[in-house]
Amino acid sequence: MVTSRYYRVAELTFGFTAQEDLFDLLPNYAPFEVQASSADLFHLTVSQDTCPVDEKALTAYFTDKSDEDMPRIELYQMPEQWLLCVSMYRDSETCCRILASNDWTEATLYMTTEHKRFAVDNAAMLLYAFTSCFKQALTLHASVIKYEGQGYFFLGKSGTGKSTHSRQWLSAFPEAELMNDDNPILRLIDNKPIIFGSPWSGKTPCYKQLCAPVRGIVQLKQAPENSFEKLRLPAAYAYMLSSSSGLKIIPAVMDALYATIAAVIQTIPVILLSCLPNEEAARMSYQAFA
Amino acid sequence: MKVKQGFRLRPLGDEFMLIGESLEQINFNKMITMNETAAFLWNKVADGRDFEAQTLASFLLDEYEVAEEQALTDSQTTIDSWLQAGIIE
Repeated sequence: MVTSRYYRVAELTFGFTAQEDLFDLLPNYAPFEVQASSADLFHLTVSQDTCPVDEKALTAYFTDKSDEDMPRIELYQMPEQWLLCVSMYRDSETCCRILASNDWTEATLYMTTEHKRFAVDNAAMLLYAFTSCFKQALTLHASVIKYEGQGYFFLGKSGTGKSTHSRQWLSAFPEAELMNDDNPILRLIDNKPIIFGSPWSGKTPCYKQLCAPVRGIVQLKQAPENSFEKLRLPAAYAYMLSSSSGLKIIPAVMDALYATIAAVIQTIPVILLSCLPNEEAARMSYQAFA
Repeated sequence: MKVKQGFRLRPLGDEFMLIGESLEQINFNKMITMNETAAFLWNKVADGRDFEAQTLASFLLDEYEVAEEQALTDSQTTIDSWLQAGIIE
């Protein structure tokens, strides 16, 4: 039986329509489920069929293939639609195809993989990033801690130690809580930067309907000893932009990301923390915003 | 000289950033920061018109209280730094 469910992440609603049993594979969305009948952002229908469009007949508008162990994303533009192809790794076969309306608000997912949750999560996260950027939201690649009612988030390339730094906070400050370990949402609400948990958290199952006003932003860099410096605006902008998901090659998207990031970094301090994976580094990053 | 296409100049605080934002400049992984004067000059030639130090100097003379010789020296310095940054050709 096909059914629809709605979710609210960072105060923005999206919907899924799929076979009832698919939802059993998606426990990460349960904390975000709401009663609704329409979406603010997008509606994703999960199809059982084969994608009606063959990308081999098309020329990619854009390909994003950075890391070997990260998904590859290919984007194809058609007269009234987009086709987004995602593979699990940079060099593997395309395993999900997303056919979307021009404005990304209506999309259908076609999967050719047993990793259905991977496909749905990637489709939903990309659609969320593509549509929410126009609502003063950033889909970040970051790990987030909530402590004393405030949010601190950690940026850095894969493998830099974002999750490790969060764990150091948890052991340095017993009252601290992990809000999300991979893809939180940052939103400007009444011009205040608020960080939100999401259904996407990388390898750590941490799907929390939580939010916190942002107190500090930390760009991490591995180093033989701990030190930090407050970043000037252009450097802060560059780090925030590279940690934000979105179709950056579309001018209207870049305009929206720029406006949100510029507002955030002029309100919240951003530091570069050169650090070891230890508790002293966590205390230093906390003290930097005290 | 001409500016390379695909860059966007954006204000941030009291500075400006030049960022490669289009498909042409997607692999331009640098961000150039400019002060107000450099940003003023960039905007004057951002449409892709040909320019040389003399061209920039005349823009400076129209806009700012500056001696002609100083305007020309500043313009040449600006062109040199833009060339080094790889944002003009």
